[in-house]
Amino acid sequence: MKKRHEEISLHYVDDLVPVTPIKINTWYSKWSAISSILIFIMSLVIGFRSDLFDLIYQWDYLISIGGLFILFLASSWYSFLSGIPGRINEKTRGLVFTILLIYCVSQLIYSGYFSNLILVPHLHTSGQILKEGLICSSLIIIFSFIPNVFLLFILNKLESLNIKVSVFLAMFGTLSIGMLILQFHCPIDYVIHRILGHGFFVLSGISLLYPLYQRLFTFFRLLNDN
Amino acid sequence: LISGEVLMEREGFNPDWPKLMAETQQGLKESYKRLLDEISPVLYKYIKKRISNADDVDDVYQTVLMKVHRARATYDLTVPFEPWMFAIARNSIADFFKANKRHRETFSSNIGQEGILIELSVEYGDEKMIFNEAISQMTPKQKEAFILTKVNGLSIEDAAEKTGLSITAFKARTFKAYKIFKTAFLDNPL
Repeated sequence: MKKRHEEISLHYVDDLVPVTPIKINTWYSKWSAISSILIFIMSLVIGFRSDLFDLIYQWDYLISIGGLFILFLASSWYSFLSGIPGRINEKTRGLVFTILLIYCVSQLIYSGYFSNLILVPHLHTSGQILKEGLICSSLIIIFSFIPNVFLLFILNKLESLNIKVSVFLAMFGTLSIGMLILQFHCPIDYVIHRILGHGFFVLSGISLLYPLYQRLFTFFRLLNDN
Repeated sequence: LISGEVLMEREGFNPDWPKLMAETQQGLKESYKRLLDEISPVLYKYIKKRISNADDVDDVYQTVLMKVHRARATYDLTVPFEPWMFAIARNSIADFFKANKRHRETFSSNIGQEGILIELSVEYGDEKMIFNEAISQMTPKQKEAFILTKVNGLSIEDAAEKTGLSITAFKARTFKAYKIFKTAFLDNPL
């Protein structure tokens, strides 16, 4: 048995090449800085909502933006941490759920208060509700896609022990980028639109895309191994 | 109960490992050889404690070494080495059990962080499956309370003192854990 262990060890010793130790804080700082710039640029491209300067004085709107920023920074940070063995434990898992809860509450406060509890505007048909919701959710997913691919690529340089958790956190971290861009852009404020177009449809779409993300992750890993 | 430090001592932990890993990251083969020679028996013993089939132990051991090799760039010198290494080993064992759900032979419960490690062997059969299921439904704190009282046989007073809780709080926690355990057996009559 000892001889066999030595053989395996020697195999890895022969394969040894120098590696640069991964500085997770540096990587994360760069990632969040680039993503913040992306949010700003994409917001400029798609255009800000006309009443944005009035909104920034309203606490419920600021809470919704804050909630999304927390989701963006915390989820991506924990997705980075999940790539380092031994850094994610039960406590941090609890924290992730707290972050998601903060996000949900902030969005509900926004939907409820800012929209003056208008569920659906008068004369709005279900077709219109659906169309507006689908447009917003599609835009959120589209804006999130490229940062997500980029994040998955970085994560593959790390050694995630739980791919599902890493992909899930990366997905939420990047979804919040799309949500933030739309939060600055979308002028439709009635409750149903916020819940469907900025929440439910996005989560449904992303759950369909989840297997694709996982395949992408595995693909990058294969590229790394080769 | 075995404290983290005692466990490391027993497992043959060497304080030079972080330094050896740093040299490994720089590509020094001699250091890597020494590191692998020292961690290999520790890892093998760690895996063997949890999986009894020798072939399976070998498979998991090789997976762990492969992951350690692949993940060497992720080791940060400023943090202790052993949580990093044991996280890889623990995860590989968990993956093995996930892939072989029907063939679990030993249930290991790692409570808390590096602090307390409890080994609990159970007999073959349906009882084991239900037992594992019940334990997995408990929160880590309930699990700890349950194992201290029902497996290690401590009195409520002693166990409460050990965990630093009041007797009432500890009783409530044990009761909840026992309830989960009872429900699991009632839902799955043997």
